[in-house]
Amino acid sequence: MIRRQAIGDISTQESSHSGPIIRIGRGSDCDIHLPDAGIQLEHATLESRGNCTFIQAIGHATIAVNRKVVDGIELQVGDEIRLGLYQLEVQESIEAVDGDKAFVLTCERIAPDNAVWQGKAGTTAGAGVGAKLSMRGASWVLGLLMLLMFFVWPIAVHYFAESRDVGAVNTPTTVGHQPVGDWATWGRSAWLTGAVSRSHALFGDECSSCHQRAFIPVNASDCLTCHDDVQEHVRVEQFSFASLGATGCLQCHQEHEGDDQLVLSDSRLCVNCHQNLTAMSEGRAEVSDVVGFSEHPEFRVHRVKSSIDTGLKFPHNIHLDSRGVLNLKDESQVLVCRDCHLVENDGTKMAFPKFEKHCADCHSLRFSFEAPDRTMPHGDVAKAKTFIRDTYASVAAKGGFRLPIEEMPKVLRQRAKTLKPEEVEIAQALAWVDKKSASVISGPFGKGQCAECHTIIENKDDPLAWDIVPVDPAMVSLVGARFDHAPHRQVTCSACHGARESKAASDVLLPKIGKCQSCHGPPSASHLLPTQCVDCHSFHQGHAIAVKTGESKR
Amino acid sequence: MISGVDQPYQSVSFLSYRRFLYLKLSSALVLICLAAYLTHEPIAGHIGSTWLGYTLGGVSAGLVLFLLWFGIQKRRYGQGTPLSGWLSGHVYLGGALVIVATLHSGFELGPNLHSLTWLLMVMTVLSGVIGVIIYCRYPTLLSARRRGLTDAEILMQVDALDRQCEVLGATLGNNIEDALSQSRSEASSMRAGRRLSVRAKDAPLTHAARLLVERWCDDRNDHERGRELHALLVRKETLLCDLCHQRHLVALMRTWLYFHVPLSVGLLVAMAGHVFLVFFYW
Amino acid sequence: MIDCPPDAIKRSANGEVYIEDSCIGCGNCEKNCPYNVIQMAAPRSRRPNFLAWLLFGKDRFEKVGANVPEQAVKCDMCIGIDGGPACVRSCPTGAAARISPDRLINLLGVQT
Repeated sequence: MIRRQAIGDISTQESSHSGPIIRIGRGSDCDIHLPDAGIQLEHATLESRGNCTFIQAIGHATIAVNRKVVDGIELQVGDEIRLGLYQLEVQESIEAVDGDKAFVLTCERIAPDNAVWQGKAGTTAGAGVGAKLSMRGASWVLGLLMLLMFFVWPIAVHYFAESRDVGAVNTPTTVGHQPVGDWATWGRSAWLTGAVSRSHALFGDECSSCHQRAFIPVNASDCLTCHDDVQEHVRVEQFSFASLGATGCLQCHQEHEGDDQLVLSDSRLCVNCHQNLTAMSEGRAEVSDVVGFSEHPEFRVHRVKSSIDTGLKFPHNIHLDSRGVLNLKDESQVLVCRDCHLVENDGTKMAFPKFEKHCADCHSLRFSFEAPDRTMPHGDVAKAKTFIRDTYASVAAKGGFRLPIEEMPKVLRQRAKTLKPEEVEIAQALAWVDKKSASVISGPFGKGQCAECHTIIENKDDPLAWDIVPVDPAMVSLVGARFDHAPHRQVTCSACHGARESKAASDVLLPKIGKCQSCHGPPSASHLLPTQCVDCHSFHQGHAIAVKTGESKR
Repeated sequence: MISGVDQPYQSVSFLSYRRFLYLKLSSALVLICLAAYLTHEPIAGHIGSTWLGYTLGGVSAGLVLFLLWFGIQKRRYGQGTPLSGWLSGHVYLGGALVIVATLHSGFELGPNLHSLTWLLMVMTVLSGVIGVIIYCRYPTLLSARRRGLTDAEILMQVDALDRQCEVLGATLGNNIEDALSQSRSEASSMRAGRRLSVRAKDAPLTHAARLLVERWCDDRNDHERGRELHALLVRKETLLCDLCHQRHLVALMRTWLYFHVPLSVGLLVAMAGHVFLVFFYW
Repeated sequence: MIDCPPDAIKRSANGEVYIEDSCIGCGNCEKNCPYNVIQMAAPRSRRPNFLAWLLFGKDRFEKVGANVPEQAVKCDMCIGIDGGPACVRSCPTGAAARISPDRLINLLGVQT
């Protein structure tokens, strides 16, 4: 037998085999060696039985002859035998040399299905999900959508949306408040990092109210469009610090972070400069360096002077004596602070006691036995003097009070000689008034009474022309800081003010800062009230700090 | 370069690449950022616009760009670090990104573009985590089912079985021939990949054909050809079920990527918008 | 090798079977390969534009014209490239590896 193997169009191989049995299979020892995984090691045999050639499958091997699966069959010319991927064709029958019959078989490997082989279908690349959807398409869709909604739209709103005049919010002609265009709403809210604070809600829906120019940070000039009356921290012509410059507003005022961040109260904002202010200002600063409330310098009043000259003589210790004081009705009354010192309407300051309201119950200004109901008017020295004189004038007018002519001054005596008798009486009466009122005014019941509490300015030339030093109540000893009595009303007055021990009104009863530091501490303190700089001090204060020691620098 | 010639072969997973080098790097990065965040107390509170916020934002942006670069590096078959090293870095730095970007935000989230960027980032990383789990678990499941054959080989065997069945079934009557031709159409539709593989897990038509032949055989006791056909159909059904199951696993292995990639592109655009906006309304 | 007219297909010392550029495309090796790993393909040049593929999905290889002669191709373990097989270097999970057969047998022995 001749086996002819056709391989492609170019080369073929020929081999010939003879023998009673010719084995076909995958094994390399087979006569016809067909390397295919679907073929058994020994798949089939060709044998001659008599004049015929039989093909016989070995074991359970499958062979198909002319498309029919057979176990064994006689071969004719033209038969097609299929085993695995190989197709054998019986081509012709020839006479062999020794007279035996010989077959020529062509053996061809059937190319597998291209589509299957190249894996275009039926492999992972073509798995159902991949065929229908595309990552690229989904990415484009999402990317373009985001571009449109979050890039193009807000930028268009910035440049093309109608805007309201921010300054017009303040003018009286603006009636009501109109919302700006609807299409712009999304463009603004998409880029909003946080809600605008309540104070700015009137125009806060429009970004360009404050963000007026793209890529340029909001600076002080944008804020000052409305807040044009805000006061400087220091006189900039004297101190020009970079941190107080154009971006200065934003260091302490944060928008878009909620209402409580609109004014930042962190002490570090202040301490960053004030811890080194002397060096930064080259010694020109009028305040000492501060690093925190627990190391806060003493109040200026205590540093500069130890007493304040108010012009009053007032011993607190006597008035606050626990045994009480006697009033005009001869009753004993124990005085407390509240009897004379009351908080003013806004709660921050104490009203200065008034004589008429607070002192008159005990201190009468009676000056005359002849007119025991009359009391000197308080507050105006000239008025008091006139009152005294008028009192004695009215006493004299009631009659009975005359100065004997011998005691009248010489000038008046001379003049009296020329008067009629009734005129002389009047003259005598007036002369008595003059003498009496003069003695009272400069006596213990006039000047003497005033001198109990006030300092008298004597007049060398005219003993009657004495005056009283004006009382300067030194109401605000704490300048440059606010103190509000209202939150402290649970604290007793004497816990902070040493009035019970004070013997003179010149004592500075403002407590030293140590008293404040016994309750107030830095923000990190755990057992004290956390206190920030802005709790007492105002940043926008307008002028340099004035020292109130009886004279004002304002 | 053949590995394993000089030393025993050890499989290196992308998670343990170079002894968890990128896990260590990412952890160090996260710890540094966390330490900076916890020790620094900005005056206005933790928001994106402090110097710490800008730094963390810059780091996050760099991370995002590095992670996106993986999509390009994946297609460069060049020298240097093997792709499993790049994937190791991608996975661990993606985990670090979630933490660093959240610190950058100061946990301040609201209905705006900034938070949308954060959300897209989180969704991308989450889908990536799912991907890591899938990549760790599913390949072994797939190999177990595969019995060492590729899809093409399975289909070739199915093809061969089909031809044998055709030959055998031609002698057994019309009913069986119809059933067999339906089963063949099922196989060819699987070959063409037309069946949605995410859901289907079996080969119903082939199963029906097998049952039909079984009943036919039982009716006619001891029919040799019938039994042979039945054996062939059993084998075919097993192969088709295996193929279906494999396709199902493979589809699941690809599905997560259909979320991961578009989300990452959305993240890129959103992040660009977020950075642009920060400096537009500075 | 036998049956290759220009003797383009060879086996290297390390065991890789590779096909040189002198292949005339007769197809003998493809038809005779017992492992079915040889294919006939027409050489295509790579389009350099990566972005066109990334953004628009354009094909990264030029289309094959009609009547372009094919050559036989098969995996040759990236024999001419430094760094070893590209598939190993580009496997993201590190699953692909090239190991010699005896080590493979040892590995399988360990695993089973």
